Amino acid sequence: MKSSKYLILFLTILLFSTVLNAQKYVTKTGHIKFFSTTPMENIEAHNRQVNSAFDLSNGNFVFKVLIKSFEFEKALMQEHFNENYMESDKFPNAMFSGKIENISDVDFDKNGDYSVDVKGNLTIHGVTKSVEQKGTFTVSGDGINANAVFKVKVADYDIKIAKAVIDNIAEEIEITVDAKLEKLK
Amino acid sequence: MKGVKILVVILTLIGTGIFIVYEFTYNKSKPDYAELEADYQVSAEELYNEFLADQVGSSAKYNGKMLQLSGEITKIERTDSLLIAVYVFNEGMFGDEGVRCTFLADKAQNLENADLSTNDIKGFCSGYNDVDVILEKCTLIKHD
Repeated sequence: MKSSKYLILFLTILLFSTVLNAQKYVTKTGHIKFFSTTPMENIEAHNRQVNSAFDLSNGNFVFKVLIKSFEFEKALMQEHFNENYMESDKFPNAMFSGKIENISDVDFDKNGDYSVDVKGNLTIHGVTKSVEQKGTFTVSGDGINANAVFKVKVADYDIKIAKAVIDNIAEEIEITVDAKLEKLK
Repeated sequence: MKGVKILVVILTLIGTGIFIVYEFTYNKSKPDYAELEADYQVSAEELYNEFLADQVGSSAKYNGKMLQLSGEITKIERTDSLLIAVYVFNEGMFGDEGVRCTFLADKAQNLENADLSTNDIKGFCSGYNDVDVILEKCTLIKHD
């Protein structure tokens, strides 16, 4: 009798976790581009190993990224980015944790582009700021493509730029997010 | 006339200096990761467990270092631009969790045809993202 109770409990947990997983979309190979433009020079970097998860049941949305995985064209830029500005040994990750506010506007059973309102906390360089951004969810048979372009003020995240290169780095950095989320199996 | 010669020499020295600074600092090339020696040899499972047990200590020890990993690869993932060897040891909110090794584009072909019983993976550790330990610029390397 006791064993059948355990069996029912086990099957309930299994069913519950399957339902939860069926509503979760994830990727570990999302792409984030960082772009700084000034009259002196343009600087861009790419990170193609971005973790992202979206929970359909409540609209929760998470991005996590390792700072050392950003790749620049020039070795010196990458070195300065990690050592002087982002201090990646001290703050190895950046992350966004928030919610899609208008989740009811997205029909996940119908392919197409949907504008989404994202609200949450962005943590860079150990500093957390509340952010609100527009983005796009493209729903297809393969999953969801999440895209957003937004700007981040360097000073807001306590990132100090050396005077010698202050004209080379923009005060606002453009961040482009492109993540192809697949249903978690 | 002597003054002109001195000026030419000074200008040449300044020009050479600027060129050297440009080439060896601003424009210096990235390391050849395939040729770099491993700083640590460790099994993928030990590495993962070390990060789980002590993220701060392990980050200080391994981040930014070249690692040579032994162990049995669980799966190989492909995206448009990446080939990733994955050691799986756990399961969490992102699915499988473990150590993910991204291969250099020109070394990726080797992975598909490799005898993984006689090869380790060598790569640059960029850290632990609370889900996986990430190695990049990976190549295969023969066991000792």
